[in-house]
Amino acid sequence: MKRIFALVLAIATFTSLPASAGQSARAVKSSSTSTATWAVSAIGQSQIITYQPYSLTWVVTSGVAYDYFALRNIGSVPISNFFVAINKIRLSGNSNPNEIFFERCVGGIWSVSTNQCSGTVALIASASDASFVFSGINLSIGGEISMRARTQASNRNNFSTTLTTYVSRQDIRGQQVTNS
Amino acid sequence: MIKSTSAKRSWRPFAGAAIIISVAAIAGQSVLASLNATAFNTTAQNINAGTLKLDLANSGNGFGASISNIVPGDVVNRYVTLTNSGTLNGIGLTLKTSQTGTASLITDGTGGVTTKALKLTVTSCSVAWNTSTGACTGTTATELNSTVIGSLTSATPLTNGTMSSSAVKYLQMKIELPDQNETTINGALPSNTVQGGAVDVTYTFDLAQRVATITNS
Repeated sequence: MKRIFALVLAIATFTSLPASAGQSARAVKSSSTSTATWAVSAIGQSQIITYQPYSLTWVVTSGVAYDYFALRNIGSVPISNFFVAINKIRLSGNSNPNEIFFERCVGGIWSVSTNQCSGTVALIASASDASFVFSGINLSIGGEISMRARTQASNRNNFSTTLTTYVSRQDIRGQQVTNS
Repeated sequence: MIKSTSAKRSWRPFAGAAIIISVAAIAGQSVLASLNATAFNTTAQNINAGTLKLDLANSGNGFGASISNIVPGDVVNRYVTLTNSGTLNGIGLTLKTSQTGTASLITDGTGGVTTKALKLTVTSCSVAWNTSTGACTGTTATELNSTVIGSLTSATPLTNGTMSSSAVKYLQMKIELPDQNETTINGALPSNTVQGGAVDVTYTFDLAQRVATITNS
């Protein structure tokens, strides 16, 4: 019995040798792949990007109050559309938060000192709108939309307004196939 | 002085032994001196081993240029050429990858995370690809079905793994980021995201020698 076992072991050993002793050839190369980002941030004047909702705090006792900010493409691809949610919160008093108008200066820039637009003022959102949308635009990488928020003349309560920006996959270019 | 007869005869056995030994020695020498014959090949037999070499060359950009700024749904086709430049036929061509970088681009998300990682598909063409259009004017064959890049860390056989000596494989390496939706809020990327990621991938092709043979001739 021992002899048979030894014979089987020897056969198995020798028959397995050629495969393990065979030659093989190898070819190796590397490459890198990186992905894009799509994002818009609302940024107040002289502010840095906080990655938080943009907050405007109003203390309106008389006349009209203004706030100037920019909606900036901080991603790595141009943006065609994006969505901004508006949330108004009463900070004190009993009245409802004041109405806010969001305006864009098209073809020009805002003058903070005179509150004037050198181009054409376009109303983006008004009154009690809960959101506004930019669609069909081509906001380049690093590009900005210069915005102004304006209250009505009022002496209502203190309140704050926050803006939250949303950019989804559908808001940037479609898929592409490239060969090179 | 008279020697006795018995004394005279005492040396005779020694003399007889000496004669026998001498005869035996002479006979033995005659055996050692027998004829010898030698044969050899006058021209040395030449034996040489085959070689197995696998060359990987870029065709177009190939692996020589980075792929950057892709978005979900994008497909990037790169082209490489594999050549068995050895003298032996090869079998069992395999591909494996190793990668470092953003985890969400290497393996699909699990446990509620729905991110989808990069995928690789390998297709061969019987003639060189048009690297600008992606057209193959010959016959195509799928060598590797679409596979998540992180699943290729062990050697994976290609469909047509035989490469004779001097054989050439024209390969299209299709890298794809599957379509998926992500929404970026206030400029902050989602916690589980494929955005802004980067992966370095190393592609390793292995080819084994043909099966060893026994020949009689």
